[in-house]
Amino acid sequence: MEGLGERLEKTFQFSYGAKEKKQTISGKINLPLQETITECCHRLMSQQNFPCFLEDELKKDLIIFVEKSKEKISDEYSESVTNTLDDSTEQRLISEWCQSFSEETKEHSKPEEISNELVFSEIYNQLIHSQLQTTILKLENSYARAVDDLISRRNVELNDMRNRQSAAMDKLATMGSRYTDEEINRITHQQFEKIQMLESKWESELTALYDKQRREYREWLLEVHQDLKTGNDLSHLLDENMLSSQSIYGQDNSIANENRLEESFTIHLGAQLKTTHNLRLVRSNILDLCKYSNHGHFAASPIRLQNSMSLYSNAISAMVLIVDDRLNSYFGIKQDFKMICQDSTEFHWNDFDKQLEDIKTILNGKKLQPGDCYVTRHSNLSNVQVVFHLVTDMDTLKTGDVSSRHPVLLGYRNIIRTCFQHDITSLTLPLLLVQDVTEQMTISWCMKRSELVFKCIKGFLMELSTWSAKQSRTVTFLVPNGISQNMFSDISNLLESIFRMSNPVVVSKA
Amino acid sequence: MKCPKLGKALLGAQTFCGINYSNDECGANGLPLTPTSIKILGRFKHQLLKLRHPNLCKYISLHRSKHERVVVVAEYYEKNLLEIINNQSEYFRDFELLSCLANEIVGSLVYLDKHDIVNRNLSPSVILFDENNRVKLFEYGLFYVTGWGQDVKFPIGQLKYMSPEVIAAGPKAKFGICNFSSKVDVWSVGLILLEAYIGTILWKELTTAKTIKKILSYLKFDGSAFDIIIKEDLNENQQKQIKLLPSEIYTLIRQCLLISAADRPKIQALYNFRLFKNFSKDVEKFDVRDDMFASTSRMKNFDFKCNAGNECMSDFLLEERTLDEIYYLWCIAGGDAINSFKKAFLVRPEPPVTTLPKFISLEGESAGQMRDKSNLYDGSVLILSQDQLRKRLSNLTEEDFFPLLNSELEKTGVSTNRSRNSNEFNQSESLPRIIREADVEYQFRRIILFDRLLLAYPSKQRDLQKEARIDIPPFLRAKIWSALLNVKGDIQGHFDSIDKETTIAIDRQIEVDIPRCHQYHELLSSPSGHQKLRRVLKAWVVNHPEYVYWQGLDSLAAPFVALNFDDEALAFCCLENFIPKYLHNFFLKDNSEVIQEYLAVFSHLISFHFPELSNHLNEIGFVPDLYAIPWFLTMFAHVLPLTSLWHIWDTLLLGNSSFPLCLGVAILEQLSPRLLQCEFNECILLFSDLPELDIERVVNNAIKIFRSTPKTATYRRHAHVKTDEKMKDTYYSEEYSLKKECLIANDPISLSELKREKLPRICSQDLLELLEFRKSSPSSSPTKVNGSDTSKPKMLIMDIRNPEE
Repeated sequence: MEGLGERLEKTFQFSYGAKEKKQTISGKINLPLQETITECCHRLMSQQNFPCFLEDELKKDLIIFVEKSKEKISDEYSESVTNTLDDSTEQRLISEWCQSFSEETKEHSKPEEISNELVFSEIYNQLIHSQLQTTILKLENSYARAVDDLISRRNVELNDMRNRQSAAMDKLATMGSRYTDEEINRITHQQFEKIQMLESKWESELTALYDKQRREYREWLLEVHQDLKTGNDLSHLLDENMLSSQSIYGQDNSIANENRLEESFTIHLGAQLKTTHNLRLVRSNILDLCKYSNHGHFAASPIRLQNSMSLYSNAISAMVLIVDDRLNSYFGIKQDFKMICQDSTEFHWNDFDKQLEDIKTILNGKKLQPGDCYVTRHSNLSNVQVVFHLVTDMDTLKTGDVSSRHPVLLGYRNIIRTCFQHDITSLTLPLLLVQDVTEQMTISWCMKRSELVFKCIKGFLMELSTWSAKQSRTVTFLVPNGISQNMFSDISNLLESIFRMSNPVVVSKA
Repeated sequence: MKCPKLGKALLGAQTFCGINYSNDECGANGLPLTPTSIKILGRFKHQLLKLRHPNLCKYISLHRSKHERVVVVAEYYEKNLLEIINNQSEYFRDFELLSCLANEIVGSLVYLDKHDIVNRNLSPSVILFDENNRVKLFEYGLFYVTGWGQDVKFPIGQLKYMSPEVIAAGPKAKFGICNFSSKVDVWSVGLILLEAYIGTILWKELTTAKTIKKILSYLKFDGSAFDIIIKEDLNENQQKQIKLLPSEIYTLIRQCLLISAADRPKIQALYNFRLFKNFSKDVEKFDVRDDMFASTSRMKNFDFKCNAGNECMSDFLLEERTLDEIYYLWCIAGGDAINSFKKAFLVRPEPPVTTLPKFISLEGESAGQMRDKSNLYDGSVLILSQDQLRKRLSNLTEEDFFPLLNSELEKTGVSTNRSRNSNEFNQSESLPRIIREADVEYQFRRIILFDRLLLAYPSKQRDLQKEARIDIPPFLRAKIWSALLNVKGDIQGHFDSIDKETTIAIDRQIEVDIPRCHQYHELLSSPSGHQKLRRVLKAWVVNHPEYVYWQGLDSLAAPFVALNFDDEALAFCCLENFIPKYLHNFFLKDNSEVIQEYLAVFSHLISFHFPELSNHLNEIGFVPDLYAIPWFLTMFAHVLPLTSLWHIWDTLLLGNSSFPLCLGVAILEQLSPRLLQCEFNECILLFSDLPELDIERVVNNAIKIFRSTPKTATYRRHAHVKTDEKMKDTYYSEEYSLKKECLIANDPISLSELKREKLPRICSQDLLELLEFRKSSPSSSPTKVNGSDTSKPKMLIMDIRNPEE
């Protein structure tokens, strides 16, 4: 019944009348039939101007004809697959069938081996939705403080050494030519080595702390879960936190950023059936979004709670980070991002470096190209659980000529598609495709870029929500801090003109 | 075609996942591939839903869930053949019972074969038995519904019962058409009958690989695998048993297990075996229409059961309702098949954050994903508990199941089924539609009532119209609409006689329009839906040579196709009756005069009811030609989503051909606060994509507008002249252009004059009526509205002639 390419044309013949006046007609029939036999019969009759009293006879012949033709096709097919059978095909068939049964059906698949990760995720999800949630957050918070403590001690010591070194260098410089270039080089080298040694010392100390915390944390969770299951008394865990809960929530956790501007929109997409989505336009540094305020002390804030509760849910949040084509985190935004990741221990996933290594393994020596995107998962960032690192050629993005077929926009499309497939309901992405303001970004440049991205995203959303209409999504367009307030409101007007705002519901007396 | 009754059946649900097209593959037409779950749903509603045979479990519903998961709901029984073989191994030693079993299995397969369905999924566990020990085949449509396996990753069928050619084709053999015939099922039948007879499941201890080896090894032999199995797999005792088999059964099994597919009989040929000579073989009769459009006597198979036992009355009566009706009520009683799986822990999806890919290339290929194990095929059946529904309906009485349909009641204006709880019932009627549609008991009563009115169709057409004014139960909307549209006669024969295969000039245009028509709708976007729409459109064009295909006809046909997805003929006949009633001559090659007149009357109505709005629109030059043509050409089907359209048309179908004009005015009214503030460009923008509307308000206002418009104000020369005199009109469906005393009709003004004038003319009869010199016909509204306030004077007459005149 479905319009499929392959159809076989057959000629059908029908004879009627007595011997001496025998008439034969023929008609073309396409198999498989796209009409019913009755319809086919009527068609032939009207095409050939057939007397209607022959209808029954014609139909009977037609049925037999179609049946025979079908039988012939399937018999030929069966013969073709059974005749070519030899030992090697037999082996192939056996392995194919076995694979297909064992990998695709529950009945034949190996008894489900649940990974530790899955067990942990289920336990965590259960506990974070229980009365123990504040206890857990408090624990995480104290761990984070320990990390923060270590980091600030590191920073102090490193700064100290750097200051001493540069002072020493200055002193050398004032002494004039008493040292040869060679000697100065040697001293610089020594200084560098010292710094490196100190850095790696701290690095290993940090790593040890992460590992220790992670192990402790997970053990503790498993233990508590066990207690919960066996019905042990957990009130000692609760009482303590009840007292302190107020102070936990009391902390100011709004992102201290006077530069931040924000506007929200509710839009409708679709021609007849409309789907509702939320858009936000935000002026902020992208990394500020995923960083807990209070410099590393992520308090057990409502945002933190919400992040934890939605980590394993069907409504997760993601953001897009635009990066260059090197898979590392040595400098620039990549380094800054890594530092945020290291502000506290990652309890759920591998740490950031390990995740990058995994991706390197998957890439298997292949170079990253613009439009590619690697994905990392995080449990210790604010507002997001997933980060898409979209690879681009930074220079072309700054100059201006970007078309809707540009790899970065195709990358956006892939990302949005992934979001639809994996229940990521909220996505933050840089509107101007760059993360900081530069001189080239004139008003017209910004407006042109915004228009392009708005229109592309609108198209992607419409295309992808065709068959998954019911779920509404939130897309946050981010512009960098350097954008002026006027420009921000121009962009906001542009957004309103490109997307269709939903009408407020008017309640009237009628 | 009526669905079988509930009886003692259970509602069984199964679930599986279609292939997820992760990358953007495109079809031959350049459009993205249709998601597999949509294709599956389309096939299900097109074919599986139609099947009904006493030995097949009726398919009831298929739901799509996230990530290409579908849930299938079907009639189900707990007793199955596997259980009998395991527990009562000697049960089928009785040849009578064995041949009965064979007959029922083969009979149902012959029926499937008639519908071009290859089962390929036969095994003792899907052969169920109902309370009368009648065979009920289960899960027989899986191979068909998945596009012969191409839309799913898992293999279909139980390995052991697969014929050698199925194994030899391999699990990855995917094809657009089914390359197998019923012969693969014949093989399975042979094996199952053998197992049933000897009372043992064969090859129990064989691994998958060994089973495949065994079946493939048969290919080295000629003749029947039966002989080999007897030698290799049966013990002495069993061999003895085989010797006792009567020759008819022996031959049957032997023939079933012929190794070469070419030698093996087709299922139809099997049915002609001697063993079955005493059984009735008429499979055609199951497809004969027995609904309101039956071409044979509907009373023929009428079967009125009475409750002989002492069972619970309401349970007994409920069992007399059909399966699909029960399932519909089950759903609104809070049942959710998809969620039931999650609750029963049969589906445990991994959290999405864990299944994310680690890398996505520019080309959209993703890597590093974890496989979600919950997507594996698990054939287990979840029985949907009917307790909640039964509880909700437990206080219904016999009278509720069999309301009196008494025409006498008509005169008193009391509607029909109000014997009990009438107060409560009337209260429900005044609640918003959305609440009524979710009220189990209310819907139950409405369904019962309409069901009975439809049984009496066409004789109870007037009562039906009257009841439809209150509301139309969604479950029976398809049938009620066709009754309101006065569809009659042998619709199947009519539709079958039209050629939809031969290429015609308009094919290309239709081909372009269909993939753009209401594609958010899961049925209409499926390949089956496209095919249906194409056939209905072509049939209409071919059958109406005086008209042409205008874009918009696709939107007009879409609601009927979506509503009658398992009944193309009815969809077609509804369209065929709808067009002359509301869109007479709109599809002429030169339709400009018809449309111009329509729009002129439309602007008259705007001026008549909303002069301020009319002035504003005229001032900025925003004339109906700019926006209202798609409204009326498609009767709003192009501009509104189907979910809104159902309710608009529920009322539209009760009115005459002028009612759509009032709907148009009502839509403008709702938008008027915004329109009044808008300039020309903004208006164009606003209407290019109609904003969301409060549909219930549109409908109610349209009725008010209709009632307050003098009838002759909407007179159109091009309106339809009805030929069918027999159908009695109500106040609302009556076409006044037909009235002889109408002066405007006798002396119509020209189109140019009509367009020049700003306001409608009315006829003197209307004038007298408005001045209450003449009694108007007793009034009630298309949907129930309280009596109008008659104390106010209805009009003011002004003489605007020059004094000289």
